[in-house]
Amino acid sequence: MRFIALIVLLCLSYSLQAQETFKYNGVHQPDQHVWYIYNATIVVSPDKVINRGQLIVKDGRIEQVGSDLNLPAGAIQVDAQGGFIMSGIVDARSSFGMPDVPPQQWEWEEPNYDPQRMQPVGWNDAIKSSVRAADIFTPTEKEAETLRSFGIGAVQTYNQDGIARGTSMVSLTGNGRSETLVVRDKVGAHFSFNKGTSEMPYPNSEMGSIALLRQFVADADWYARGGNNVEFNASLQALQAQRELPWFFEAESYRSALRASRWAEESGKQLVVAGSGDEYQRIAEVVQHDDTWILPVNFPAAYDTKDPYDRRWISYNQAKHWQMAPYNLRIVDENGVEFCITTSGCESPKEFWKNMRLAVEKGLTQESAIRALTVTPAKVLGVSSDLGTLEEGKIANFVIWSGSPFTSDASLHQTWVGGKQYNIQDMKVNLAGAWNFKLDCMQQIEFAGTITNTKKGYAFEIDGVDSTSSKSVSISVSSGAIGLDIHGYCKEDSTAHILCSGFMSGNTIRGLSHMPSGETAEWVLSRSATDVASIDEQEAETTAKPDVPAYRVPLHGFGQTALPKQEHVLIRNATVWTSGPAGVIENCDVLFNNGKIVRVGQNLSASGAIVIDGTGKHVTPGIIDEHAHIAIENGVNEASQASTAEVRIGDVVDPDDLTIYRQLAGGVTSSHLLHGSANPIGGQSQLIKLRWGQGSEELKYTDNDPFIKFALGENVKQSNWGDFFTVRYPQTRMGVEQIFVDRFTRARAYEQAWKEYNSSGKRGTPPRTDYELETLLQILNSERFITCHSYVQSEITMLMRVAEQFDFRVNTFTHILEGYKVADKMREHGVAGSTFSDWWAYKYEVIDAIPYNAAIMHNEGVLTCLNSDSHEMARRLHSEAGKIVKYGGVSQEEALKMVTINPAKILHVDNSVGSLEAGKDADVVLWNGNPLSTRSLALATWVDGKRMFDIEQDKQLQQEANAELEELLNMMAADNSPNKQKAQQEHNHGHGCLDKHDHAHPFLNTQVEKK
Amino acid sequence: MNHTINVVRAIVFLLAIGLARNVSAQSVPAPGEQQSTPIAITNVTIHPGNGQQAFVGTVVFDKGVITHVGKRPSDFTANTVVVDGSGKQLYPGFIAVNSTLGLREIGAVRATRDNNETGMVNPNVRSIIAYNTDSRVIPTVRSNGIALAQITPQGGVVSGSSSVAQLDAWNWEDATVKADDGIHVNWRRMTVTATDPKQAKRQQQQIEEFVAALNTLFEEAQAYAADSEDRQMDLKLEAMKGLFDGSKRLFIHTNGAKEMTAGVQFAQKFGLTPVIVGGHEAHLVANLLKEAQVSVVLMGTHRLPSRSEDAYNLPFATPALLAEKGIEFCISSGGDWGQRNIPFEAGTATAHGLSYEQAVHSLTGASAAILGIADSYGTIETGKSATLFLSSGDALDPIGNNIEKMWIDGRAVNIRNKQVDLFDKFSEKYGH
Repeated sequence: MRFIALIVLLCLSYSLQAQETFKYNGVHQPDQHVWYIYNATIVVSPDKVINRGQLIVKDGRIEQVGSDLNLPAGAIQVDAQGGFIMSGIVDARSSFGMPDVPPQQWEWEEPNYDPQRMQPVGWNDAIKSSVRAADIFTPTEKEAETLRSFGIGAVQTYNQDGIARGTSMVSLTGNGRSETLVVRDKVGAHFSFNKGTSEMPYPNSEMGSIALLRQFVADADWYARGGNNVEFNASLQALQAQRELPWFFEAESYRSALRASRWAEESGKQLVVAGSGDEYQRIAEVVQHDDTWILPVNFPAAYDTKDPYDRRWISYNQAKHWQMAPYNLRIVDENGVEFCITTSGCESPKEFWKNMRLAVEKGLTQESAIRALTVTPAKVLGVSSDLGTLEEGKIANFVIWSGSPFTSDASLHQTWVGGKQYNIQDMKVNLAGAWNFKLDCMQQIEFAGTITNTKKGYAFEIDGVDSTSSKSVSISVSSGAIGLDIHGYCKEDSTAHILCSGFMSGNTIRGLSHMPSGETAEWVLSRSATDVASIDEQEAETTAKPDVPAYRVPLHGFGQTALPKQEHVLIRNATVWTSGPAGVIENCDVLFNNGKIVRVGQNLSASGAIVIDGTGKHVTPGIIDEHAHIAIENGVNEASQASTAEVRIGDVVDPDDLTIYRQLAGGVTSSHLLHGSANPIGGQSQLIKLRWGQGSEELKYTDNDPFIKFALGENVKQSNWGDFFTVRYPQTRMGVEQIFVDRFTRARAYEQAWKEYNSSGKRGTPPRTDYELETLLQILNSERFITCHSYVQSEITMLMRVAEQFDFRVNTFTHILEGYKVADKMREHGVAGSTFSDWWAYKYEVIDAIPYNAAIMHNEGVLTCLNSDSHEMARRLHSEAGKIVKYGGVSQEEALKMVTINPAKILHVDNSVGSLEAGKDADVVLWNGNPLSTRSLALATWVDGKRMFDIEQDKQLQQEANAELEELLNMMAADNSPNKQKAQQEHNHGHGCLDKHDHAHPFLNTQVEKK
Repeated sequence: MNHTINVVRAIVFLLAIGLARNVSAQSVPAPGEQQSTPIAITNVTIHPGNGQQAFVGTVVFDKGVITHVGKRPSDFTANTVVVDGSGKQLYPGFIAVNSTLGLREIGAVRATRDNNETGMVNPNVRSIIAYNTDSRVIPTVRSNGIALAQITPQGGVVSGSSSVAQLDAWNWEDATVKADDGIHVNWRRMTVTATDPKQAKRQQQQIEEFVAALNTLFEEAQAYAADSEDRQMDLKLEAMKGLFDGSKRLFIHTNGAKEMTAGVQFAQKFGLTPVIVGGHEAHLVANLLKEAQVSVVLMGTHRLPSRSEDAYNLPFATPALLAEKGIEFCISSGGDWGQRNIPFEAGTATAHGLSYEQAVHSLTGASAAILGIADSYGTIETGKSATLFLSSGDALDPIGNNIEKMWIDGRAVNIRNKQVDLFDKFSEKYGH
C-alpha cells in the first residue's frame, strides 16, 4: 500500500510537467523512471508469447522485452509473481472525456423546423461534422479509472451525438491533464443514424438519416468543386477534410450496419462499423462488404422462465439470440472478418471479462481475442506504431493479470498506461516459504511451519502436526495487513482462538495479537526460506471447441434452415385462374420450371416434375399487394418536411420481418413497400418479392420502373396530429397544391441550371446535386411514377391538373375512396385506382367512402386494384377481392385480377408477374377452394418457382420451432445467472391504423397515420 | 351489366313496391312498420342458429314472432305473404357484441365520439342514452345481416353499462332490447415487462394496486348491494347492484391467459360468472372457463397471431379450438363500421376447422345467450322474435353474402344505406 501511495504521488508530479510548453510551479522534476517487471508470462503480440519473461519500461515506453533481461541500474523492480502480461486493451468505441448526450425526450410543443445552432455550419442540427474530439476533450479521473479497471490502456473517443459526429482522437486512459493523454488527433470521422440531441424534426426515420448522409456527402463534393464560393459551410468543409480519414459508423443492428455500409460504398468508402453483436445472423452479407467491425460482448441475459404464463412471450428470436450471441465473435472470426472488441455495452469489468471468457469457451481463440482487443484496434486507428503490442518502442500500455484473463479465477492487478502503474487489485502477497512463529506473552508460543500460496488464499502446514490435530493456523490478507487465526495453542482453553494482525517487511511479519484472556501481545513471523515460484502454474485449459449451434435465417422459428430450391412442378386438373387472356380454365394444368411458368393448359406432361393433383383445387397467380408497409425498419414515415422525395424505402428493407412469411401463407408474393402519408411528397417506394430467407437486396425487383409516394388531405395537413401541429406548411388542401407546384417548378429550374452548366462546357461552379429535386425531376420526365394517397374528389382532381400542368401523368391514386365520384376524369387522365374494399368512417375525409368504389372505377374503365395497407389484411387480400363481387357485382374473374394482374400493370411489372402465362415468373398459389372466398385457404405459395409456403411444411415448422424454443427455454431455466430478463410481450401492428389517437409523438413513433 | 348488380337492383325494386315504406335515397332509411300480415318463407335453407344442421323448410312469423319452423310447409292463413326462398339461405339476425355502433360516427372527429367517458370507474354511465339511431354507419352494418348489437362503452377500468339494441329504430328507447345488460371491466395486463429492476418493481406494484383497487370497489359494491337502504345514494355502487342480483353481467375485457385466469377467479370470489371479451388465449385456459361456465366474446379472427411462434393461422383457428374444448363463444370484431365484417370473420374460421353451423351459432345463438336475450333472439325457433334475414348466398362469405330481405321483430327492414345511395347516384351518372 505504501508503495501504491507513492506511485500516485509520483504520477501527479509527473503529469504536471510532462508537456514541454507548460510552465510549472515549484522545482523541475524530470520523468526518468525505469521499471523492471519480471516473473511473468508476457504476450508481446498475439502470436508471440514469452514464458517467465521480463519487461523494461523507460520514459513511458517499452524499452525491452525478453526472457533473460538483466536488471538495469536504477530500475524499480516489479515482481509479477508468475502473472500474465499483455498489451492494454485499445477500445475503439468510447466517449471518454466527451460531453454527456442526454436521451431525447419529447416535450409537447410545436415542432421547430429551423436549425437551433448559430454557428456557420450546415442546415441540419444532427450534422456535427465540424466537431473535433480534441477540442472538447475534458476527461475525468473517475472515467479513466473505470476504463483502467477493464484493462483498457487507450481508447478512441468521440462525440457520440448526431448523425455526423466529427472526428475522433485516441487517448490514453491515464490520470493526468488532458493534453498528456492524447496519442493522436483526427483519427477518424464518425457517423450514425441517430440524430442525438438535435431537436429538428428531420430526420425522424432511419431512411431519412440515410438520405441526409447521402445529400451531405454530395454537398461536400460540391463544396470542394466551387460551392465554397457560393456559401461558407463549416460542416461541408469538415466532411471534405474527412474524406482521407477512416469512417466509423455506429449501428444498432446488423441490418442498420449493412445499410451504412451500402451508403459508404456509394461514397467510395469502406467503413469501420461499431456493430451490435448480431452479425452472425447474416454472416455471408457481412463478409461481402469487407468492412472492419467493432463488436461488443454485452450478451443478453437469460430470460426469466419461471412463470408459465410469461414464459410463452419469450420468442425464438430472443431465446436463440441468447444462445448464439456468445458465438458471434467466433463466427465473425472464422469467416475472416476483421474485427475489434469493445468493452462498450458492458456495465462492469466483471461482466466484460465473464463474457470474453464465454466467447472463448464458445470457440473464439485466445489469440483472436487478444488480437481483437489490441492489435486490430491499433491498426484501425492508425496507431500501430504506438499501441497494440508490447514491442520495443511502443507506449508502455500493458496489464498485469494473476493468470490468463481467459481463465475464470484470474484477476487484473495492474493497468499500466504510458509507463505509469495503476493498481486495480492488490497482487497477492507472496507468503510461500518456511516460517517460524513466536508470540511473547505470559505463555510464550512458538512453532514452525510452511506456507504455500493457493488459488483461494494460503495454507499453513504446522511442522510436526498431523491433520487430525486440533491445532491449525489460517491466514488472511486484507489491505496489506496479514491476519492469523491460531487455534489450539491456548493453554487454558484448547478450543480458543488467538487472533493476530500484522504487517510484512521483507521476510518478517510483525504485529499484535488478542489473547483469549483479554491481553494483547506482540508476535513475529520470520521466513527462513522462500519459494518464489510456488504459485500454481496456470494450466492451459484445453477444452474442445463446441459445435456452433444451427440457427435459422431469419432468426425466427419460421426462418429457413436452407433456402428453398426452384421446383419443377406440374399441377394437374385444377381450376386455373390465369388472370390473363385465357381467363378461368377448369380441369387445367400448370407447369413451371426454373422459376418460370412453362405452360398453362390441359393434359400437360413433364418428366421429372413434381406432380400435384389439383382436383377440386384452384390455382392463381401470386397476389400482389400494391400498398404495403411490411418489411420496413425504423420508420415508415419520414414525417418531418413537407417534401422528402430524397428518402428511399429501398434503403431500409427488413428481410427479417416475420410478416413476410405470414403473408406468403395468404398467397402474397409481391409487395409494393410505400412510404407513409405524413407529407405531400413522401419517399421513394420499393417493390419486393417475398423471398423469405434471402437478404434485403435480394428481395428487391431490379430494373423495374421506380415509384414514389405522394399524399393529400388530412394526414399531410396534420389534421389529426394534435394541437401542436399547426406550424408546418401546408395546413389546408389549398396549401397542398402549392407544395406540388412549388417543388415541380423548382425541379424544372434545377434541370435548367444543369443544362446551362453542361452546355457551357461545365465552367464555373456546378449546380449542387439535390437528391430531392433529382427525384422530382424524374417524375416530370416520366422516369418515376407517383402513387398518391388520396381520399376526396377535390384533391384527386387537383393533383391530376397539377400533373397535366407539368406535362406528366399521375400513375396511381391509392386509397382513392372518392375515386367513384371522379372516375371519368381519372380514366381520361389515365390514372389507376388502388383502393380498399370497404374501409370508411375512421376520419372525416372518408365519410363518403363506399365499398362500391372499386366496382364503379372498374366499370368506368379505370385500371383498379385492391391493396391492404395492413400487415394483417394482406393475408386475406384474396377474399377482400371477393367483396368486390358483393359490392357492385364485378365478375369473379375481374375481382381476382384486382389483386393479381391489375396491380402488376399498375406497377409496370405485368411483363413478368400478375398472371399465369408461359414465360412469366412462377409466382403461383394453390388454393383449396375458390380463391375469392373467405372460406378458402392457400395450400402452397411459390415465388420464382421456390416453395416459400406449404401448409404441411408449415405444420412441421411450427412443431420444430416450438420444440427448439422449448429446448432453449429449458437451457435458460438451467442458467443460474441472477439478473434475468423479463419476457417482452410483442406488439403487433396488424390492425391497420384506423384510430391512431395514441399518445406517441409522430417524430418518435414511426407508425404515424398511414391510412 | 352483370348479374349481381341486377340482383341489387331487383332488391331495390322489391323494396320499392311495398316492403319498405320509404325508399327515396336518404342516409338513414326509416324503420320498418309493425308486422301487419303473417309472412311465410318457403323452401328455404334454414340455419337455425343453435349450432344444429341447416335444413330446407318453411318459416312462418306473425306479429313479430315466429309461429312455425319446419321441414314441411304449414297451412297459411289467406292473408299470409309467401316468400319463395328456393335456393336461398335464412339466418337469424346476426348480433354484434361489444360494439360502439351509434356511439361513434367518425373515428378521428372528437365531436362524434361518445364511447369513452373520462375517469377510471364509470359503472354508472349508460351507453344506450347516447346511442344515435340516425348514425349513418348503422345501416351499412345492417345491410350485411347484423340485426342487433350490444352498445358498449369503452375506456378506463370500469367503462360503464352496455345495452342491447336492435338496429332499426326511430330513437334509443325504441331500439332498446335489453337496457343495461352488463358492466364492462378492462383487466390490466399483468405481465411485468420491464428489465430494469426498479421499473419491474414499479410495474409489479401497479399490477397489485390495480387488483387491490378493483377488489375494494367490488367489496364496496357487494356491501352496498346487500344493504343500500340506509346509505346515501352512491351512483356508481348503485349501478353495480345489478351484478349481484343477476340483472347485469360482468364483462371482463382481456386477451391474456394470465389475465383471464385472474379475472375469472376474481369474479368468482364475488359469486359472479363473468363473460370474457377478447379471449385471444382462451383456448389455453379452457378447463377454467368451462368449469366456471364462462363464455367468451372472441374479438375477431382477422388479426395477427400474438406470439412469433404461433401458427400463422392461430387467430383464424381459435374458434375451432374453443368449439373443440366446449367453450361457449361468440365472434365479434369490436368497433363500429367494421362490425359489418363479422360474418366474414366467422367465415374465415370455417376454413380453419370450425363447422359452418357453429360459425353461424357464434354470430347468433351464442351471442344471444351471452347477452341474456336468448329467450327471444338468436335462433330461428317457434316462439322467438322474427329477427332474421334472407340471403341469396352464403352469408359468411363475401362472394355469397347478399341480403335480400331482413326482418327485425317481424318488421321489414329497409336494407339500403347511404353507400348504396351513392353507388346508385354515381352509377346513374356514368350510365352503368
